[in-house]
Amino acid sequence: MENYKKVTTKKLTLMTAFTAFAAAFIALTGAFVYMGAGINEDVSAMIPGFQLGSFIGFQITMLMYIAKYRKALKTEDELKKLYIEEHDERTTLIKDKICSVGFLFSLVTITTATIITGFFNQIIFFTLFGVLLFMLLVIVFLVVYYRNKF
Amino acid sequence: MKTCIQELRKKNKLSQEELALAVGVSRQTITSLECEKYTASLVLAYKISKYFNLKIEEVFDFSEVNEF
Repeated sequence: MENYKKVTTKKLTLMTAFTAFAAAFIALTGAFVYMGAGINEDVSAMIPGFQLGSFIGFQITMLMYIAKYRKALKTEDELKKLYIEEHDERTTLIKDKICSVGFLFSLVTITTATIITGFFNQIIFFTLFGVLLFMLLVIVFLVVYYRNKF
Repeated sequence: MKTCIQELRKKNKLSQEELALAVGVSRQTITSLECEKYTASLVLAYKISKYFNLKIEEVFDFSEVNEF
């Protein structure tokens, strides 16, 4: 548990640093609003909105985790509860299943969409094709990595 | 997989939460084991058996496990 306490403290430091970075990024998003403007009038407001929303979302999540970790580090019982929550084998299995099934489902859906859009729009076709290639590269990398690891 | 965790727990007057905390898993994992929805890992099976001072095969029923 002492080792886990050290890891949790490190995580907490990293999260605090990330939150500070995100806050600085949000403060600088005025530049992104300017950069996004003029590309396409219909979506010019959407792009910086998405960027700002993403960082605010990350920051809220980080703040929630910071509060949770700080609470856990106060007492041994709370730390044990957090350890169980993070290392429970059934939860880990559920997460693994969600990731693998979700990734496979996305792959099949994007492949289907790529084939269909090929008949209608070149830009969307190449965008989806790029996403598909990236996903396949990720799979190949993960297969090689985990075959060597286990 | 069939187990006698529920019987052992009741015999020892333990709640699912207490057993879960003792073996380092969530209460839901114990529920799933008792409902035969989830099969415990070797480490968890060992921890549960050790907690009740029994052998693994006395807590977990391996009769339905296929032999190759």
